[in-house]
Amino acid sequence: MQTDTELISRIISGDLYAFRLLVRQHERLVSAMVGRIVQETTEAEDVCQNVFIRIHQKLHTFRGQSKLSTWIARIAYSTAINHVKSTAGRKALSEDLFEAESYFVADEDPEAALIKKDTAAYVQRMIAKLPRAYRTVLTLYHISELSCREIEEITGMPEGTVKNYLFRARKLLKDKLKHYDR
Amino acid sequence: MKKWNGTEEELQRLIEQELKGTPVKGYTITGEDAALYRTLFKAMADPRVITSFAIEETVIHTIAKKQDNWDRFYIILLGTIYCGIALLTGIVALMIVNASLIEQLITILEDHKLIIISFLLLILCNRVFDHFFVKKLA
Repeated sequence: MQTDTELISRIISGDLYAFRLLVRQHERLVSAMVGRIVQETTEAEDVCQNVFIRIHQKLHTFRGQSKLSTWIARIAYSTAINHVKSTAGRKALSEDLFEAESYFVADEDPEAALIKKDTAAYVQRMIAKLPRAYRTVLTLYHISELSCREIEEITGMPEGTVKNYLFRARKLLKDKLKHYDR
Repeated sequence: MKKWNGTEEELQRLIEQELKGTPVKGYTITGEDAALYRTLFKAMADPRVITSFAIEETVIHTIAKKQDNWDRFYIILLGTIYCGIALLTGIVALMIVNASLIEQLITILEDHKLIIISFLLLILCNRVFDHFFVKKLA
């Protein structure tokens, strides 16, 4: 098993096979993160490709001050956010987090009712309805298994805010799950 | 064993610890909220529902293509530099041997400047057409 440093130096020297390994190792992290920020599947796929192309271009600037996965997640986050800004405008990014509860007020459509059969799918669907900041924090914490400190590094949100969003998002989902079987 | 009784924030943290295999000793965490958090945390980490795009091949193909383009550009650039140096060396050599030859050459170029410019423009147009249309169709 080679270290990140060895892998990076191979990629910088032009080894495409080494880059393929890097893509394989971080595909899940990037896909999960971009998929949560850019929710339209085809757009998210394109953004994921752009993320890896940017990583390839900028890899020589990686100084090893953070973990490679954190650095990659930071690029994925900024690329996805920039994509949303350019397509939907800044308004889309300024969702009112304090009105997050209203995301769950509306009656569910038949598809949602069908999805209820599978708890995991149901939870993912509920996550998709959360404000973007909540979705991002949840994804990084639960799927990418990053710490609040690393999430702060990636998103630029203060650690306290990250913890607060995490708590609120999980509480909202728990409350929603309460009605899941009823 | 005591029954745990604390804030909801703490409850989230303790359930997380429990699921990671390091439960809080001396306490039993029961109740509806605890059960719901257990279900929620397990569901969030369920690998079946995590989106994963199969982009490996596309990314590698795009990068390989970019590298090829860069290599081609580098070769063209080097070729142009070598031709320029050769031309410059030729002119200097001519000037050393016979300076009047240069004047004759300049006169010929001036007399046929329209033909020369048209020829250069034709090459340029060909390159642009090739880049934007022919390669894209291929």
